[in-house]
Amino acid sequence: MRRAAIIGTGQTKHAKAHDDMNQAELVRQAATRALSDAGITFREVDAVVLANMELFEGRALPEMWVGAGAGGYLKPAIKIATGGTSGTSAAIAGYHQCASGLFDIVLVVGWEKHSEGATQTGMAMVDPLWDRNVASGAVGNFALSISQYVAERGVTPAQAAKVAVKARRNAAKNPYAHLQIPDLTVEQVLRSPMLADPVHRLDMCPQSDGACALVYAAQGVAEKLCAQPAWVRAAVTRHDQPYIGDLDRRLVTMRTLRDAARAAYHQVGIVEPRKQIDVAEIYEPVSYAELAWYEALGFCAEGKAGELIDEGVTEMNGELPVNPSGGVLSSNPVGASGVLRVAEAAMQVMGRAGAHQIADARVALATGYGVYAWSDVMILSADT
Amino acid sequence: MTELLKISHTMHLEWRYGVGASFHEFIAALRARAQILGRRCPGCQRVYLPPRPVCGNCYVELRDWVEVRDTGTVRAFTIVHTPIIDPTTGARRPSPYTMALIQLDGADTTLNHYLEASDPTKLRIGMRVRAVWRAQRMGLLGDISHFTELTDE
Amino acid sequence: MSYTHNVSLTHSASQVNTFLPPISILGVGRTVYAPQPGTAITELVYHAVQAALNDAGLTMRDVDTRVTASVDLWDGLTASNVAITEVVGAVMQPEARVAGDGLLAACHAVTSICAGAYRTVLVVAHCKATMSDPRALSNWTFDPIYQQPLDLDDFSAAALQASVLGSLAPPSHAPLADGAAAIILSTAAAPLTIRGMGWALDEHYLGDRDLTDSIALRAAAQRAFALAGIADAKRELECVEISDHFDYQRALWARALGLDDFPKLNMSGGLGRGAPPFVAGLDCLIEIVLRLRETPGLGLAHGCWGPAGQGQAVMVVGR
Repeated sequence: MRRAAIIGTGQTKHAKAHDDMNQAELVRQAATRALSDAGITFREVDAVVLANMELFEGRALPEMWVGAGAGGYLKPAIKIATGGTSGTSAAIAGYHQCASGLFDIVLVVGWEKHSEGATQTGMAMVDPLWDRNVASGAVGNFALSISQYVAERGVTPAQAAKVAVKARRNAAKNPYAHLQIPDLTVEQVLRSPMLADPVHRLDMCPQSDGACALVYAAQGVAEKLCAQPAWVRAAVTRHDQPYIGDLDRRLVTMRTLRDAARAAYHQVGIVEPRKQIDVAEIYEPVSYAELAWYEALGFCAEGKAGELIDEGVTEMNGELPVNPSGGVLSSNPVGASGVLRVAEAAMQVMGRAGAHQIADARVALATGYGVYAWSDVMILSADT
Repeated sequence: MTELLKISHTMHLEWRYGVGASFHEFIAALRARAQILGRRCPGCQRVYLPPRPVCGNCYVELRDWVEVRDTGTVRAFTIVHTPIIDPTTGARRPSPYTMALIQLDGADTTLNHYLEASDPTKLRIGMRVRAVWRAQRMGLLGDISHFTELTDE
Repeated sequence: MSYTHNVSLTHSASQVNTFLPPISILGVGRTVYAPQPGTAITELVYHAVQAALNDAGLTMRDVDTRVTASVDLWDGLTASNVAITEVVGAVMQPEARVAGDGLLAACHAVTSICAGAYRTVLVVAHCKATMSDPRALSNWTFDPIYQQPLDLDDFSAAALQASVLGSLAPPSHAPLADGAAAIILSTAAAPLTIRGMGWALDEHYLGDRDLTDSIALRAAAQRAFALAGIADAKRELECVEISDHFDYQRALWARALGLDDFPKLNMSGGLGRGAPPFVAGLDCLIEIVLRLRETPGLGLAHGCWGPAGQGQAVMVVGR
């Protein structure tokens, strides 16, 4: 049992279609960049953890083909796949492997190449006797839950649109982001085509091709390789019941995120998240979800998420910046999206976020979201 | 730049899903009598649709069957505008269409199904609805064509 | 794109543990392995989990987390662990899901215990090999550019490997069946403990591999033997269960493990017992556990997955 820290991150440019690289090459580019950021080579990597939702590309065990891109040849390599949380679950798995005392350096790589498959068909392969009947993709499922959230919390389409605007404006400072729209307005979001009431196209995340990697090093090694490692202080997973109809008003209650965050805060000694967390990278596939997550994460009181975005608390220059990278709303290669949250949080703590760096970020939160309501929460810190 | 080559593969796969004992009963009752069966948890008393082996909240086996009505209350709804490929047919669904999470009378979970309302502006959470059944029943959720407003309560 | 093939198998850093902390196997459980067309995956998994909990004398309350193993395309479900969330007790609880063999899931579970994250872990693997066509499914494992268009699949890859080994007859495959297996690992003291483990990926392109050998299995075994302090596997091991998905693989894997002509190899009869892909390696571990309960000593379980055994895992257990 040892402490472990992130000492390097790397990602590809996220884009609608990466015809210039196959899946293995995408992975290799992200992995190479992360290792270079950490100042090491493939040779120093002791174990590899991969993340990908293979059904989106219609593949089985794609790590067989793609694993070598992450330097997995003859190394202990494993793939984690848990839906949208695949990336954060892989980040947690990599952390456990590094903290186990069995490996000094663990490389985590998540990827997705939506342009090579039929994502909507893959996503519709839910229970053939039940939810598959009316399956309407992530948009349809979110729209249902948003109707409950809006009815109970009274958030407005304009408040949700502000989240979408913030994401794309922040993304303009992130050279790797897919959707970079520096001058997007609330009106443009509200005028974009309606996908499923009340979700407009610009309220929703894109589908991206991309990969993201991070490098863990164990205590004793991390300090030697990195001036300011991002130490893992908490890593918590909560899953929930299998059908959308099982979950009571999921965006209102979001019990998995609520419980995972409370457990993580407790481990780190966070009692006032808004004051004690310097920056958050949260998994928000749709604008309204970010508002719901504010409440579940305790960034504001119940029903006050609309005010939080109105007051600019979560803007780049606010008290608690949320998703300075542009978040999932700006780049969404699903298997990489969770790794991206953790990598971006680490970049903030390491002071390597470039134009979207939050000054003096010492404590960063990363979350993962998947399936109907699964959650991962990680807390990274500049201090061990 | 020259255009990069792409290779195309088409997937033709078939799966034979075992429905299991719980669904078997459900399907049989649905097909024979248009009866909807849920299962009650002896721990939390929650009535589950679809029926399943275990209550995930209590981790106890579900054994008791409960008849659930084909009327219910809308707990969430949306009008889907974006083109969706129907995974059961492979064809594009006509849009827009309305779908809802409906809590059937007697059940504690909600059912995701189509909702047809004469006036879409009257859609609201809490509205009462009833199932419209197809003439031929296969024992599938699709035996219910859609739900519609319940006006004669 | 080029890959480095020059891999050092010995570790130079002083930090890395040279042995495992005591982690015991408290219970094992499994379904029958047979075609079970009407049975749901949830039921198979629930049965295996209950059997393991009963064997351990535990309830789900005692389990801190789960590591499950399954493959979406084989289940015909996206994120196929969603279906089993309730039966593995993962509601409002942690779970990690590994795409690969259950023995790999067990290896990962051990690391999360070593990390101090959890004390007691349930490991579960499932597969219904008869619900689709494994030949057609496994074609989608091969890279789509060079190998998939050749119509390669797990069976033709095996035939290729068998031919390289000198057999012109098509290799015979273990019977395809449906089932689930579960095992409970814990820091709680018990007679059976995990002594070593290793896993590794081989080269994907069959033409790049020496198909008469498995260096990935050699790499995995080397790590497992090092952790277990085994210098002479043939002399020190009491029993060995290897995943012979095809008949020729028995001798091939045994040789890579340094266990040619080992007398107590696959006393269970091997995968002729029907353990499905992705369950097989975990079931080998169960076979070893059951044998060591009768006869003390060291046992080795082996699992493999992917084309011609591209993925390899080894676990050494002792009593």
